[in-house]
Amino acid sequence: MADPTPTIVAPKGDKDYSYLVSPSTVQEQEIIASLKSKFPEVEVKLKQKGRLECVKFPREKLVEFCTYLRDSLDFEHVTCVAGNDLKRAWEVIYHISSYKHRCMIQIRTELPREDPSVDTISQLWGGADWHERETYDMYGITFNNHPKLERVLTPEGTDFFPFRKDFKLLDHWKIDWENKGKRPKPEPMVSTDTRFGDGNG
Amino acid sequence: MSLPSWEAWTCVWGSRIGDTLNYLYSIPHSIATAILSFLHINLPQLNYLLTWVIASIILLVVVMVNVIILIYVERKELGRFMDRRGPFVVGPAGFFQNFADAFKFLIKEMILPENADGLGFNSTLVIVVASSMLIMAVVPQAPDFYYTNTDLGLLLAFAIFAIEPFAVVIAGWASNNKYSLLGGFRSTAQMMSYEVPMLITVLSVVVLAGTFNFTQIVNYQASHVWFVVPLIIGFIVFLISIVAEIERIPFDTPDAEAELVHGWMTEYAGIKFALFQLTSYVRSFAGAAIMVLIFLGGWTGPILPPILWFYIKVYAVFTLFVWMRASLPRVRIDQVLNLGWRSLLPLSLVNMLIAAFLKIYGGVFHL
Amino acid sequence: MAMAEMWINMGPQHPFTHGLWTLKVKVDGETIVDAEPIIGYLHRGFEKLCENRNYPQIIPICDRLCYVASMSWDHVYVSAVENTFDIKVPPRGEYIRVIALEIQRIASHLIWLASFMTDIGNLTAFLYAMREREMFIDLLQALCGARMTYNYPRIGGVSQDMPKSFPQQCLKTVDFFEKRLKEYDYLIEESEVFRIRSQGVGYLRPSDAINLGITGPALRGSGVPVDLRKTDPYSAYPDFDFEMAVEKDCDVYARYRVRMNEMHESCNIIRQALKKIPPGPVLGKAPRHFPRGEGYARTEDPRGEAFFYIQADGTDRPYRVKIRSPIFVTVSAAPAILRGYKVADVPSIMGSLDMCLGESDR
Repeated sequence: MADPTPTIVAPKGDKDYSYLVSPSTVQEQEIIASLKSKFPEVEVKLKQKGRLECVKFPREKLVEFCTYLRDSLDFEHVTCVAGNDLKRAWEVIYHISSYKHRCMIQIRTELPREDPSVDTISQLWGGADWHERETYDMYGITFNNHPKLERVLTPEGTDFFPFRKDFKLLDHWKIDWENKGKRPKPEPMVSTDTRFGDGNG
Repeated sequence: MSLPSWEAWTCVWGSRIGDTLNYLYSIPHSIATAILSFLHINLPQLNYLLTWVIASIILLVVVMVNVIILIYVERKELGRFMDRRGPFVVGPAGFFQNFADAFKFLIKEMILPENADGLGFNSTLVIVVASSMLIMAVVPQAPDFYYTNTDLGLLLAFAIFAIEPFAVVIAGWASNNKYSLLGGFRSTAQMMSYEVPMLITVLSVVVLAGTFNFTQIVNYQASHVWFVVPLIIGFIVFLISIVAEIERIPFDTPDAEAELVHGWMTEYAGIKFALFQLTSYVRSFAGAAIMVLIFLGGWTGPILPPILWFYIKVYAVFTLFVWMRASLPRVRIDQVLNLGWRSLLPLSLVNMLIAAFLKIYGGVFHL
Repeated sequence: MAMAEMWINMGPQHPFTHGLWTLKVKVDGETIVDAEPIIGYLHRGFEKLCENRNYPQIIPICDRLCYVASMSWDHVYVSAVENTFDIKVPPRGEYIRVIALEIQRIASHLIWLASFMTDIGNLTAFLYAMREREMFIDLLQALCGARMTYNYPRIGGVSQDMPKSFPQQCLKTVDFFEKRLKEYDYLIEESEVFRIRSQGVGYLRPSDAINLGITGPALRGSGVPVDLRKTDPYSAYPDFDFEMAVEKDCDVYARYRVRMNEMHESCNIIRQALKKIPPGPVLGKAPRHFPRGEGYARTEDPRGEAFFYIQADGTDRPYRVKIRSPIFVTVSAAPAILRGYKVADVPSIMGSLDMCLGESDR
């Protein structure tokens, strides 16, 4: 029988991750202490076991903070990047988890209403790439230095951001009883967002 | 230019088919004679022409009926292999399912894709179907049932077998579809690399039997031993090559439905697609028939009439194909080519050496 | 021979996609130079939909996230709600959830096996896997009455206790299934053709896998021992003794092995759970009014790390729901895995990642 002949020679000498089987001895308190000493202005607290929390994070510090998390504290994995519309402001919520210490940190960053942009962390974790694209897609929050900030779930050329709170859903199910029970004419899907195309988002 | 004389027709046609023992000659001949005598026409040339046409039609009908049974057998056997029942609704035990499918294909629209090359697209169909049907013309099915029995029958059969890849690559190009194009390339590459070991294996049979004539090869096996015994390596090489040649799983890379939607057949719709499918079974039938003739003793066998033995063996070999299809995944195209050039070619050469050795010192083994 | 490079659109209507998505591949001859996945054909605005429904109403639409693993998605949603509002689940409820989840995991992996084997051209294994899946679907039907979209977990437990005959039926099925798994080994694993199609194909380096956010069997197939049932235990999983399926080969074959071993382990967990299951109620007390708060849950879905984030603003509806779908991230890593292989490897590599478009498009 012929050899399997892989078309590319696989680099075999990669890092061995079998140490992840047993949990590390580092406690959450030590991680918090380490973060406190490095970033004194950031408030990190322990919610429950293995769940760290960090509210109202300043957005300028994000990449620095995340680099420290990844390189010094072994947070290897981005679980999720979520956008949110708080009406008074925008918010981006990061959930970054560590396989080694078996804990997860939640970072909530508020962005001002008029400037929904934050630095990307997809250079640090490739897994954050599409999450950030999706956040842009749904909320119009731009991520600076993102390699490819395009629509991912909605079609190209969509001119609205559907998850914003001021986005009107089609009122298909509402029946107009005063008009003999007929359905109203569906309103066109128009976003009230006017910022698209002016260079900001 | 005048028509050839009576004797000229006889030497082309009659010398081979002219023996009254061949039913595929004698029956059409008597029909033609009856028709012409009814019409009071006494033209021997017309008689032979009519005999030829009727014999062709009979052969076509025989092959088609066999192919329909073959498809039914495959469906039923595949059903058994896969722990299901296979077709069982249309007709007795689902036998007429094929006809139902054929009618469904017939009522479909025949689509010519936009920007496709109409001439290449349609002529391919004719070439593929005609060349595949032609194979059975040179393959005898019994000592008393054959269309032609030429001295170079074996070589002719493989020459006709090798026409299809040209048509396939034209089809791939003319369809104006990237999947078709890739499928056409794959088909050609695969055919080319498997022709070589297959023909070398066939050559070893020819060396032992000393002839290219199917009937004489079968007679040689009947009087000595089936070639599958001394040339077991060649048999295996030939089995793998013929499966690659007729493009069935595990070697159905040209129309691998998972990666290329349906390969070079992607753009063909309706009855065209049905004809291609039918053709692939004709080729399976022909491949199994050739394998039976040159390795498994042809129509020889006890008690039962020869033609029945021939069909029993052909269906047994076809069952082997179905078994392979049921149990093996598809091989990747570069692996297919590697297998052909790196493994089968050396093995076929070894087989050739064995054949030559047996030819020289064969008296010891009664060969 | 150098050919001109060309883009091939594989999908959205293509036999290998198993759903509705497009993989644009740039090929040089048959070698893949670049790839670009395009998803979103199934986008239903799921998170926006959740913002307009109250908490119990979201459970049935969670079934529609991935109809192959509906139970897992129901479970991750209800556990996120329970984490948010500190709702306690009675132990019997947790045990029944674990049993249902593991049955669902086996059923989901069998669907994967079926589609994967179709991708690499063996239809027999497809029918075998579907045949076995039927038994597990019957089990879930006995448990909750539905065959695909279960709507079974509730906030604070499960909707109903399991029927009396269920443990016996379950044990019988599991025993029978383990015999059938051996049959798969004869059919699939001992086939040389399967091995040359899967070994050394789709190499995914462990560090790449971690960095690209790949989770689940694909990550464990790269030799990274991360299984949230072990490393971040939830529900009743700490009570059970089971092995984490890890393979170090980093290729398609390793991912196949991981899933097959996981099915064994799931059978193991089901047996233990049926043995240890405590008596008692199955549905705890859920609050009538939901306070403000936020919370999340992450679980080990059959496809990877499933994650639900909920922000509650004190009304009966969530203010924001975010779903992390494992396949959404895995498919974004497709170019990194595909580059350098042949077009014919696309089905086997993408099939080994177990695509499910309902959950990735949401």
